[in-house]
Amino acid sequence: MDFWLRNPDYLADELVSMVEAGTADPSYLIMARSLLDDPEPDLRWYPMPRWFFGAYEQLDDAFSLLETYGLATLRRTGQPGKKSKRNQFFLTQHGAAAVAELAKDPTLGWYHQQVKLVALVAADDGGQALKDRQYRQAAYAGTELGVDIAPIASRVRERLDALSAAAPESAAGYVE
Amino acid sequence: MSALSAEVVNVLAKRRAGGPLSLTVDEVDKILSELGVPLRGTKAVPVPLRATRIHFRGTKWLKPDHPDAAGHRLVDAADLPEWVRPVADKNSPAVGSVGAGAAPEVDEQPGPKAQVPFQFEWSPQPGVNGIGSGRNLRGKSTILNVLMWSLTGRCPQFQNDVRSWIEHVEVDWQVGTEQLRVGFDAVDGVATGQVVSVTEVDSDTRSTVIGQFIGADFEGVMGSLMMARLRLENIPVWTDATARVHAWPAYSSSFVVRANQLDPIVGNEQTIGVRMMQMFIGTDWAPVQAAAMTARRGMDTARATAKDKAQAAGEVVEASRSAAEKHLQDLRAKLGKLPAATLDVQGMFDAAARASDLARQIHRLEVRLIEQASFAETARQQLKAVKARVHTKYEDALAARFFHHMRPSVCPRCAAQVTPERQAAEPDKHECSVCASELNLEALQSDVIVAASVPDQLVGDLVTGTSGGNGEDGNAEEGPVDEVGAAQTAVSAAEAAVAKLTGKIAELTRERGELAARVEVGGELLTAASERRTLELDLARAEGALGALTRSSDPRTVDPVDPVQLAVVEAAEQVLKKWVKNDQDPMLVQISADIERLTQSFGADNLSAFALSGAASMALRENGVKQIYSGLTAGEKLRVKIATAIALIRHGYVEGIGRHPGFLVLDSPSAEEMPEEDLATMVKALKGVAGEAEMQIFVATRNAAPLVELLPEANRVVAEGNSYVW
Repeated sequence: MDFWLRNPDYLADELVSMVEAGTADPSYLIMARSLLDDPEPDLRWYPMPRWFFGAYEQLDDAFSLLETYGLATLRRTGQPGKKSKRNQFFLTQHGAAAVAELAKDPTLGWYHQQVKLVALVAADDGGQALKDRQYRQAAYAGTELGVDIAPIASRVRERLDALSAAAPESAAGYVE
Repeated sequence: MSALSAEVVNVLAKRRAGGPLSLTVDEVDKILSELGVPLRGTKAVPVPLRATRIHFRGTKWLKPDHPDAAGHRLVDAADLPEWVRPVADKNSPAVGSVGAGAAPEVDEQPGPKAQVPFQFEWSPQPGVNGIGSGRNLRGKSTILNVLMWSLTGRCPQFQNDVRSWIEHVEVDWQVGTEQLRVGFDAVDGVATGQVVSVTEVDSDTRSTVIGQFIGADFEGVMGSLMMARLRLENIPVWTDATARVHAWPAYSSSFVVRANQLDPIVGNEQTIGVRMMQMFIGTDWAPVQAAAMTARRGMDTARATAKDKAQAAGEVVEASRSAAEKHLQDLRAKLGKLPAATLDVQGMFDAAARASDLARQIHRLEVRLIEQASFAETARQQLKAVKARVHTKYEDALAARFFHHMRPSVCPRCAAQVTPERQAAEPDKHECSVCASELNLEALQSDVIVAASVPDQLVGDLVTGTSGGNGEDGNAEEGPVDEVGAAQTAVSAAEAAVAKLTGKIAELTRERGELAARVEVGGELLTAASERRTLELDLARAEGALGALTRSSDPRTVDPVDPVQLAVVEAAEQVLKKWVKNDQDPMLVQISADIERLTQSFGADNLSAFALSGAASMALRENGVKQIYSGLTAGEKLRVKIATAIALIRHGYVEGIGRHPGFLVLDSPSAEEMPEEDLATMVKALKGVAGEAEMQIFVATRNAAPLVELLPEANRVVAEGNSYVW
């Protein structure tokens, strides 16, 4: 989910796939295009390297900040640093209030919007299923270990154009 | 001066088609003579032809068991003459003549044969002569065949073995006052011998050889001897485009009436019946008419051939001329299409040089454009990076402010509570409320909480940053804004440079295109100039060729026929046709009446109203109904044909004109349903005719009784019962 938030082109591709499969409203195509074309994603492109289990970065430093202020909390099982079994992340009441406050900010509110899209795309899939979906991208799967995963914006734009060209007809058929 | 020419001159003087033609009689004489048209009618005086003696001998080669073979020498097959030996693949020919030979049984079995010599000698008489046998195939026709062989020179249709049996023939012919003896040795039908003129002076017989022959010469020798002596002339006939001459064989065929050869009514050649009629009816001008017709037809043919040739040649010239005209038009059209503009060679070369120069400039600019575009892209990337960095800083600041009003509640590592005591301990004990590390006191005085263990450099930055960040926000943002502005300026400058270069390149490219077009036009003009020169040369040649074709007059039909000659011969033909017809018509009426009388006397009294035409066609009535000769039955035809032959001869003799030599052979008339009484009637009629017209008629028949009854002994050769004539 962190990967999708930081790579809007991959997120847009997931949206296109969903519209294509009929699991999302065609109006999300507009959203997908804005993800590709708006200047903000360019400013907020934080590439991630690929490791054995996909895109990965240490969360500890970032999460410690949330935990220190009591906004979220992490529960680990297994032996920390050696054989971690499962990490569970919880949002606290205080954290939820902070998010609500953050959403009101014209600049930082962008993240709130983006997270909603990620949540839509991720739906109820677990970590393994999400990882599998991301691995279906050739650029993602073909990236060498430790190297930033390359963008796929141009390919997603092609898919989007093709689907948009077909969409008006299906939309017209639906209205009738 | 001939009467014919005089009449021709008259006709030509009154000619309508082509206008009158004025010629003198001498001129017409000359023209007709040149064309081989006799100027005078031949007085048709018949020359009698009579057989006075017939002799032949040879050897019969009979099977040993043949009744006549008894007592004769047997000859082994190997010793037989070559032409007698039976040959395995030699079929006995189906012979047309009836009863040809005494022993017709063909023995093809190898083996000895009896050698039976034979000879025949008879002196036929003037008038009717009869050859009869009680049965068929008893040698009647052989006598007639030998007679005709010696007369025509052409070996007739003997039965195969009879031909091989005959070894020597001698026939004496009385031709007018001359006695001719035709004698020859024969080997299987091939004759070698001579014709001798026999004269008796004071009971002394003198012989003069007037012709000799070997094999095929025989026919020619007999033809030339007989035609001259009988005053017969060749019958020229045009068939298709060639002249054929019918001569002696055609005439002599008209002397014979065979029961199995009844068409046409006169002779055996359908096409020349009309000419033979003319000869036998004997009008003076008939041969002249024939010659004139032949001359005219020759001219017609020559003219038709020439016309065909001329037409072909004319078509060729016409085709050539239209081709030449078309060629000329094509060349003019091509010349017209060539661009008219004159060529500025210097301008063309200048333009080419300038275009080349521009191409180099454009190349240089394009290299610069690539560099500039690359630079612009780099600038854009830098602008993007700067913007992202500025934005990140801005978000960082916002995030810092967001977290600023929050207090740490737990240790991010161990989740130990940050209690109020620990918070209170920070200013008092100078310990971190979260991790309990010792704090830097100096920094704390500036409200900056940082561990004592943090390097001084970083602490300094933090203290400075805190104090500066709070006090001079406007200034703090100036740096980044300038950075973005600078990057933006760089991008704009690079893009402007790219646009300028692109514009310049487009301008130069357009200019170069115009120059190239001008050079191309120049090139076309250069090609056109060369092409014009070539076309002008071609045009001159084509005009010359057409002129030559137009000047040469069309090949006219070169008429190979002199129109005067043609006019003369046509007029002669016209005159002669009238004369011949005038002479013939009354004769034909009389002859037709004779034919009717004779036919009826031969037993065909159902036929009447005979009308023989000058074209040798016969119209008549059968039981009162219109009929023609070819529509009659064989028996009727035979009677009519014999009657016609006799009528023609009789008429010529009675009138003293005509050329029929008065010699007639009737072979086996009774074979065609002629009963004995009719035959007797016919023989009687023949006797009557021969009496008044000095003829010699041979009748060969199986019904021997009338012959015996009606003819003197010298006039007949009759084999009674089963016996043979020879």
